[in-house]
Amino acid sequence: ICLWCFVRPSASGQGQSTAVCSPSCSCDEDGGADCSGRGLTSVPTGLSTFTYYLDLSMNNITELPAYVFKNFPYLEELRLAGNDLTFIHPDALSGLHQLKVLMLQNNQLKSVPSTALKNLHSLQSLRLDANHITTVPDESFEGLQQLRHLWLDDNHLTEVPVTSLRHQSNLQALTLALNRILYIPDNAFRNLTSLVVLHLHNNQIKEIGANCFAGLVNLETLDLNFNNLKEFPKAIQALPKLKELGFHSNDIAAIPEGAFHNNPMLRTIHLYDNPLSFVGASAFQNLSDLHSLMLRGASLMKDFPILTLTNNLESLTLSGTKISSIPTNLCEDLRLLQTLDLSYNEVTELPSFQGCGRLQEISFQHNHIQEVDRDTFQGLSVLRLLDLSRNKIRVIHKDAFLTLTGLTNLDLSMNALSMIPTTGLSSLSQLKLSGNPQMKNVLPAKNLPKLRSISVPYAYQCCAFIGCESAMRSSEETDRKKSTGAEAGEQVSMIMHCSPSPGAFKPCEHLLGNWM
Amino acid sequence: LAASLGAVLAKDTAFVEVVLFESSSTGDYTTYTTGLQGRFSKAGATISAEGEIVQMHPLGLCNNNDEEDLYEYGWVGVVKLEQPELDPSCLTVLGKVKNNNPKHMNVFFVCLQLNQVAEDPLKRPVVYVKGNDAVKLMNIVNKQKVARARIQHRPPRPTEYFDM
Amino acid sequence: EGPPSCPKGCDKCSEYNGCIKCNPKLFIFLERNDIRQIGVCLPSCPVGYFGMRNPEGHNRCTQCKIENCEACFSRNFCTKCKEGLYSHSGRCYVRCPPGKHTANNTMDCE
Repeated sequence: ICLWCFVRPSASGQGQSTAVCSPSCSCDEDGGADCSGRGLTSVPTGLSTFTYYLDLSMNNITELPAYVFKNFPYLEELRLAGNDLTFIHPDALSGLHQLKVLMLQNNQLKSVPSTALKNLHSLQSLRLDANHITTVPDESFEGLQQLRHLWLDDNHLTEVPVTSLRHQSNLQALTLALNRILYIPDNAFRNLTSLVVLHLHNNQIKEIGANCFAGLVNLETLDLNFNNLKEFPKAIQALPKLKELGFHSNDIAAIPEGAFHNNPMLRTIHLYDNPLSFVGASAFQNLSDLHSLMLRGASLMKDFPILTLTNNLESLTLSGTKISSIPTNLCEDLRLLQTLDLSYNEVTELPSFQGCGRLQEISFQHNHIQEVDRDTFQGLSVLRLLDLSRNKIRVIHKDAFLTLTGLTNLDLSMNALSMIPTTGLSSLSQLKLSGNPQMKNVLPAKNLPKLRSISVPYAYQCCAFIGCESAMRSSEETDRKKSTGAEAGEQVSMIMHCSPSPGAFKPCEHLLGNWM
Repeated sequence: LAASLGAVLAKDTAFVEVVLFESSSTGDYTTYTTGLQGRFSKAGATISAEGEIVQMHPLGLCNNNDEEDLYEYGWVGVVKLEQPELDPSCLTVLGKVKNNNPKHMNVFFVCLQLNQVAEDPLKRPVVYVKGNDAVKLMNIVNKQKVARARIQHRPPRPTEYFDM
Repeated sequence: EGPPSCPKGCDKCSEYNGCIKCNPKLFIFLERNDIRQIGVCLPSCPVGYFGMRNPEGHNRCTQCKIENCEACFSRNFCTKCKEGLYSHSGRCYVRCPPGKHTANNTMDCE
């Protein structure tokens, strides 16, 4: 039975009111006027002077004439999204001294209406996203000393509007995503000392200046995903407060040594979907806030990364490399590790994971491991999933699984095993052993009380789990209902899958040495 | 072949009961049960389950679904699958189910689990409901504020009551 | 405009799911009414959500993940805190963090 319930936030409706209003709008008593989606071609008249919130979205207002909002001295939020606006008269927004939020997204503007914006001294949020803006005049945001949030994404910009941003020391969030920017020059954001979030994803950035992020001393989030960067963005060294960095889906082949040594506060790094072939061993050192690290396909990487003081890592994925050995003291640093995926490498020997007591999932699929010692997985009582498939494992110590009381999924397929220890596997529900041709003995079903699905090298080995009498009836995967202890007061019927299931041509009795 | 085909249909048949509750001012309540049938998909587990019905928009099955943290106790997700050209491109659970049943025209499916962690196969049932039964189910979803569903892989026994 | 049977701003819809694909530049919001969840198309996202744009045009309203936040720029950066709370670096506080103070009677800590 799954455990989710749904609590719906109460809807606070806005009832009709007796406030001064225009027939084209619905107004509430707090000074809010909703005139959206009414097919209007101009700003309606008859609205209250005390209007503080005016929504004119999704109409057909293609031009804003001069002084059109002169009667709204208290207006704080003006929404004009989705109007096919092409022209805003330089004096159109005159008188809006209290305006804090201006939404002009999803219109047809080709340039930032800089003159019209000049006197909006209280403006904090300006949305210009989803227009056709190709130019940002140098003086565009000059009068906007309170500007904190600026949306310029989804436009046609080909370069960073450096000059127009030079006075925006209060700006905290800026998006230039989904444009056609090719290059970021040095000092592009030099005076944006308050900037916390910078989105540059989905551009065509091929190169960035070594000092292009100089001055961004408070930047916490930098999104460079989906660009054409060929080199690792070393300019991030100017970002001491960086917490979230994304440069996935670029063309970066190498992560240099000490790549993040100036970014000690990093929590997340998204770097997948890059043709990485080399990663410097010291790249991820001293990142004590890093929770997850995912590196795939760095095919020339030979050395396991040095993770000293990167001691809050909960998930580590490192696959598709030439790494052949793992530091024996791995768990001294990674005590909080929950998920470890080191599949598709060349590891020959497993260290002891005894210190990593929180490990829930381990995968060493497709390595060169030959044996599993007594201490390898000792003490991992919350381990649920262990994948050692596609190795060369010949021997597993009889006590290797003794303490894995929480293990539910064990994959030992495609190895060189002749037998496996089952002591300790009382919670196992899925076991894969196919592809171990030397394993001919019958497995002790009684040691695996909760098993629901098993794959074995030979069909006759299924008889211990599903019995022979049903074997003759069907040739495809066979199920037998097996009742287990009631769960939450209701008898739960569990299905036992075993493959390859014995059938007419694969009798349970072991006739020949091996047969197909 | 017919026998084994029959065996195959029987084996993955899902028996779905949808229960509506009507409570009176005196505090007692009446239940109205609608019986439906569907098929367990290989994308999920063939086990019984029950919970409150919640409809999910197909886009709600994408990885970046927000509603996941709103749910705290058992529920049954109902998703109306769309024609191929209407299908959202981001598929997780839905993708698994589609791979297991390519001809999904006009198919509704009841999925019990929307855990965004990729599991293979899902640890909870995923059930296809088609045709009239599907229309009955979606009409209930369309009109009711609250309804519960129970899924079983054997015909319900009359004496069974809901875990209230 | 989309087919007449579809809600405002919608390009493709269906009877039970509402909108499946919005017109360009709009955001799809999955609106929940008790059991039901339907897609609606909006020029800007409702309280507690922000608009995520993507090149394929599947623009979508996504939940702000910041406590006490009414409007946000991205998942982790709030642009408008709930009434009576102070804002600093995109997060909302009962009082300004240590070493910070409010500026010219705004609710921003500097």
